[in-house]
Amino acid sequence: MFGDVGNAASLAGVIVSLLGLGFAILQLRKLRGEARAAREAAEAARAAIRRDLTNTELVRLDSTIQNLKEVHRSGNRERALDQYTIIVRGLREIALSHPSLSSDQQTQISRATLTDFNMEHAVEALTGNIPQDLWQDMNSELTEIQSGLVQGLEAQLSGEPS
Amino acid sequence: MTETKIQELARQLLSQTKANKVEWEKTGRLSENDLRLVFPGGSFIIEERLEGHRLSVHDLSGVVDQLDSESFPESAGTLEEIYRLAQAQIKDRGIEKALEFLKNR
Repeated sequence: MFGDVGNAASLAGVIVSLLGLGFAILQLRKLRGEARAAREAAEAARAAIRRDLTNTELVRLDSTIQNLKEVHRSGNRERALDQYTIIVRGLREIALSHPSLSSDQQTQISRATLTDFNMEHAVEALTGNIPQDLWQDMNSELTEIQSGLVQGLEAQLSGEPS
Repeated sequence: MTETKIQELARQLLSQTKANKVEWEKTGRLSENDLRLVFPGGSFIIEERLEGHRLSVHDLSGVVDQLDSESFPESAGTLEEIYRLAQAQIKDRGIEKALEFLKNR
């Protein structure tokens, strides 16, 4: 009789252990799910912040280029020279902070940088009054950078994953 | 005399240009005689000047290195040939584009 009671007790013990194990597994799954959800939320937040930063960088670059075009129209050599450096820095920051950019887009950044250097050298080298048509040529090149590179980057980087 | 890095680069650039493996382009309205080869993170510019030719390598911060035929007369031939081939390549591409345009009219 004691043997039966003992067997029943050990069976009950096994059942309780199994129930405990099942509960523990459920808890673990729940925790894992919560951890995954938290991780996904953090990744989404990071991606959103990154998108915001990228948009800020691009908006700043676009407005610097726009500003430079105004400076060119006014023919102010000194102010123009300040702006070239800011644009190159902006382009470099974008290239460095987005290594996932396509080879074509990185080439476009190199091309825009080179165009900017050329403008800087031309303005530095020319003495006396710079002819109006040269400023206009430079503005045409800047418009090409805005419409080709900046808008293209905006479209791609705003949808870029983290 | 040992070859400098930029001289070696110029030699490689010449063979790549000869093999049509690189695509040279005009620099733009500001310096019409300069030709450029742009790649991710940098570019080469070859210029024709009164004193000869000059090849410069740029990264996103500016000029990294340069080679001119005046300071390196032993590279003058290489630089001249790069310039000539790059010019011919651009011209040929222009003709091809024009023919393509006429065909598709």
